[in-house]
Amino acid sequence: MKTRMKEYRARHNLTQAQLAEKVGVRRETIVFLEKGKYNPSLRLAHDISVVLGVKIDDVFIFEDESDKKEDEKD
Amino acid sequence: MEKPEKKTDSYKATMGLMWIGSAILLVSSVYMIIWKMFNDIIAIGVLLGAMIIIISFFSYIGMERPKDERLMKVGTMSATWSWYITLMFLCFLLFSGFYTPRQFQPAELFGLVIFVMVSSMLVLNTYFNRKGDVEETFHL
Repeated sequence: MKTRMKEYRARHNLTQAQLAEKVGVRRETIVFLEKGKYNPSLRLAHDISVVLGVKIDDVFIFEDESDKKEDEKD
Repeated sequence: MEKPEKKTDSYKATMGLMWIGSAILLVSSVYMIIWKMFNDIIAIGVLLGAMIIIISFFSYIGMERPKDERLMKVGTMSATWSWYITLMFLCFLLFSGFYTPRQFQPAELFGLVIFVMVSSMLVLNTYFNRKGDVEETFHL
């Protein structure tokens, strides 16, 4: 999963800690989300998109499994 | 639309309590393994350690709101794997008994179970926490 959280967060002048507090998670969770290492629940993805004022699929870009396998082959 | 306004809990205090509870349990279990006995002090140690670890663990995985969903996933997965590892360990002890007969004292066995369960949970919890997510770790 890719994410544009960092970009949207910067547009809103929010720090990771501020965003974490607004959505009720720890800052480390935001760090892992921005690195694409953590798949959020629909609820958390929704909360983040509400705070950032964009749609969920603008922030989180989910890769298709078949695309992922083809990328791995290349 | 309702904006999410939540606050994070005192994670460090909860983690600290979990480590303290685990340390008490590990010390008690090592005592039981080495000296193969169970006395009043060890009983208090086991009960106190178990109480602290249970309260702090449920607080850690989000029984108390607000909760962090990642910590809940990490904690739940590490507890599950710790339970499986302990079960496998007990099966190993049982089967190894057929080939190398060895009498375990009840206190020693109790100490071993506590040691394996607590240490595996701590190790897995730290591993998953540093990795970020529990997904794509084990494909069963």
